[in-house]
Amino acid sequence: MSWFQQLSNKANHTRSRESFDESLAEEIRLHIEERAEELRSTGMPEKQAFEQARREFGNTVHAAEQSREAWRWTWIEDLARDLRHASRALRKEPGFAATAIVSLALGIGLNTTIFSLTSEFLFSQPSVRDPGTLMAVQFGGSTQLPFREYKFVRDSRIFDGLAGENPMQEVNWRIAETSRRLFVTRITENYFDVAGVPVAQGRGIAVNERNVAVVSHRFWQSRLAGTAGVLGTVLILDGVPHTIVGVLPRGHRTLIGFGYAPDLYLPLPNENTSVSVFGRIPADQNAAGMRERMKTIAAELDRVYPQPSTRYSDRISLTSLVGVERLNRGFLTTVTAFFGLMLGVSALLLLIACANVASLLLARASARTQEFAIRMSIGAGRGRLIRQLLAESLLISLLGTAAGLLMNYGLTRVMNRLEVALPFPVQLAITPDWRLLLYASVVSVAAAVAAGLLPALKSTRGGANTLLKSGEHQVGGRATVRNLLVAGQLAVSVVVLIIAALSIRNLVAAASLDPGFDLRQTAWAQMRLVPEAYPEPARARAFVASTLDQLRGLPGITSATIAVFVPLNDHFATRTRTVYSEATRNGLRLEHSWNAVGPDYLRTMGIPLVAGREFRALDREGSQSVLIVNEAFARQVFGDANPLGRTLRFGRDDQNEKTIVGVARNSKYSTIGEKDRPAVYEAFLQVGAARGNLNFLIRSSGPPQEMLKPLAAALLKADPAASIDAKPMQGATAFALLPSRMGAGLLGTTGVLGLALASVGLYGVLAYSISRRTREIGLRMALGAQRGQVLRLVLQEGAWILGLGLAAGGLISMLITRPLVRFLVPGLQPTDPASYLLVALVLVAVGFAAGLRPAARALRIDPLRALRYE
Amino acid sequence: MTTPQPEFLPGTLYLLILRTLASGPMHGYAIAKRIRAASRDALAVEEGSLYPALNRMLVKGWLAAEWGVSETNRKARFYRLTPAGRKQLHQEAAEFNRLIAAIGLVMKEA
Repeated sequence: MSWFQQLSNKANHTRSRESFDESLAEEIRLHIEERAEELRSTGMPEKQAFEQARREFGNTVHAAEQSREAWRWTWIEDLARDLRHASRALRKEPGFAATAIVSLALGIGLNTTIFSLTSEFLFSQPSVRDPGTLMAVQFGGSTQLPFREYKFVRDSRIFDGLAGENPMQEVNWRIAETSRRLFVTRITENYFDVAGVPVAQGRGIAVNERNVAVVSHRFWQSRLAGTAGVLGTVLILDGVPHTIVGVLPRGHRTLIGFGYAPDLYLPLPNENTSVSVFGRIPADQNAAGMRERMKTIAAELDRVYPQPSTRYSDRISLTSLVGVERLNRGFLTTVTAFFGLMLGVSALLLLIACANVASLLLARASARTQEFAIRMSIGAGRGRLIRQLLAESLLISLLGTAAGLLMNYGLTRVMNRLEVALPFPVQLAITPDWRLLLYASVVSVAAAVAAGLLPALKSTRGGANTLLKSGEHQVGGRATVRNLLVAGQLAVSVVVLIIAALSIRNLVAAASLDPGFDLRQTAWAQMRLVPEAYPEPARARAFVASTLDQLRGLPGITSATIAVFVPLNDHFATRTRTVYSEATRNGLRLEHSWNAVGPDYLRTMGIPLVAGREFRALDREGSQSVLIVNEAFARQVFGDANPLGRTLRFGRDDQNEKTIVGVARNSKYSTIGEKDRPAVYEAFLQVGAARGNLNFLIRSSGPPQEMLKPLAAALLKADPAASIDAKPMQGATAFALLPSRMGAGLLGTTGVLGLALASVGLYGVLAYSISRRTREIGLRMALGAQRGQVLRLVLQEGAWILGLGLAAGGLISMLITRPLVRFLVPGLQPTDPASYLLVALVLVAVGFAAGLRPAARALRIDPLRALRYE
Repeated sequence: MTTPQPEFLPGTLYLLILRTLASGPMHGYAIAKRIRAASRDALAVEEGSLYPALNRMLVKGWLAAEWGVSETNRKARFYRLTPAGRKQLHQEAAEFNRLIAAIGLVMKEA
């Protein structure tokens, strides 16, 4: 007989399922009656004969069960039936079901949201055709390749197409009388073709096309009002008309990823530039083979275009645009570690939620001991009962997961719309995908097992007899497993809370760190000039000098200056150079912050001048090269000697000797967490490159908000084609605090959720323990126990659990929070006593609150009524 | 019924039921009774395993069942062999005989 025939027999049978049970019962009845008839015919009394026949048949339920088994659709049908039973059981206890489901929903909702965020941020694929075969190409260890060299490699045709891009470029978009700064990715002409970027409307940029643009979905929606006939619209970009030829789809992801979302894609303006290079691996090649070919080409490059200091054949690399490979460099390891931390903490939170459900299930199971005992005594196997109990926890976890996924959807939609205070536009495009669903199903099943297995095993242990005898009739029995469970849960929440407390302490510490400048009356105007309008640096410097004069003339402005870098807003202001001076004749290699600033910079930024003078308008091209250093720099180079008037050179071949004219107080440069970094300032009017962005800074006599308009107007008058962004400086330091803010926000939320879940668990276990010990307490009271003694009895149990949880959690935290130090500001240790104390106090308070109601209930126990139950 | 029952060789319950039904349709109790009688009380089919076995054989398609009236004029479910069941009987009987003969040989030799 084929299995197919068997299946069809079963299928035919399924249609008459109802009558099957009836007819089986009928058959068994007939069997017993026939046997009884036979026994009666041998002379046995009727009643006795019937009973004997019954006995001989044995367990009718078991026989029926086994017979049904033969027709069963294996596990799917079992599962469906178990789930049906489970849903009936849950409907009977809506309070229990709701608590359990909400617990899991919170745990799973947060957990999957962190997962979605991590997966989007670290593992999303760029919107290109076949991302697996498009790889980032590097020669000579540099991410950028001069255009000439790019063309050389491209024309060698070792790749199946080689394209280049210049991301994070800016352009001025002229609308009416003003200009707006836009972020663009400049691309080589073959870019859309090689990468295969999908376009929602129109087309990509074609070969040899100039003055065309492809716009992002967001740009189209928010800046062009989402109009239907957008193709063919002309945008004036840096004074040149560009025609829109395509619109990208919503959720477009760039090659560099990490949420970077430029407004436009434009062709490279000229070949006088460098590009990041991406190559398509030919179908018959692998990465190893390609590296060999790249070596050959690199040797050619070195021969044709020799470089003074580097060789293209050194440090050749070919890295994937997706997966783990690209995460393994530079600052990304910190970002990756941060997401790892978040995933770990959210897993702990889920564990707390599971423990909650487990302890609810345990409480419920012990209330159902009698039911289990009866079911086992009439022939249900232990395995069967365990399966039924697991089905209940699976149902809870499925419902919890469904609710959690809804929460995930809501939260990720908010995140997609979030405007983050970064110096470049970022947009996340999180959508539920197969990764999330896979992860959620794994989490769901794991949660069901984690929460359900222990209660199911424990409550069915010992068989029918033990279960019938024990249970509710016991006096003074302790629910040790539950107590340990809650203690464990508390320990985990201590860990979560300590991480949360540390992150919040970190934010407070970071926000209150003295940056070394005073920005309360400072405003910052970011002005972007059209680069083509200022071909020579001298012309740009002249423009800066005259503009500064005009700003100083504005009423309400006490000083005006300019800087290449605005502190705490740029991570690229660090240089490592060798300093030659009288004090360091053999050169001192020193990592330091570098900036080029205008006159009155220190005054405008509120940085104290320790000695000497500020730059003046006279410190310009042609006059003596001047320098201001900070105290840390002066100390490292000159020790205790007075640095004023000393000269120094950067590098042995530096012809341009500079004289130190001022010493500034130490302040923060790149990050708020850094400590006493050496720094040098050069005079903007002597060295400033002044192409593209100019950062004008002003100090006002009143609130800086009032100066924004006149400031922007004055700058626009100086160059009507420039784009201008004016803002108070106070908000500009937000970027420096962003990582701390994000950490504190996410981890703090997690901590509060964990605390809420754990306190529900603690309350549950205490309340349950009181209800269980009603008789014991009644008995004690009847025997003369005082209220105080009863209260102590109750609180003692809670205190034990709490103490155990706190101690264990504290120890675990000390062991595992050590790596957190990389996220904390200097001076704040992962073993920060204040955080530990805070967490302990909060938990004791919560524990006390959780114990109050149960304790009050214990005091109200009427000894007579309690004893009558026995 | 209290005398210890010899264990069935695995699968022999199917064979016994098939063989018993070869003489015509029968209801469950009659099958059990017939096996006991034919073995002179040596083999008693446990009721607890008879009905599950019958149902498994229905699934396999060796048996068919229909409702009829018993000798005692009561509604009863009668099982009969299907052609597939008859084929199965021949196959299993032949195998069983071979096995018994083989065991017999071993017993004689040893």
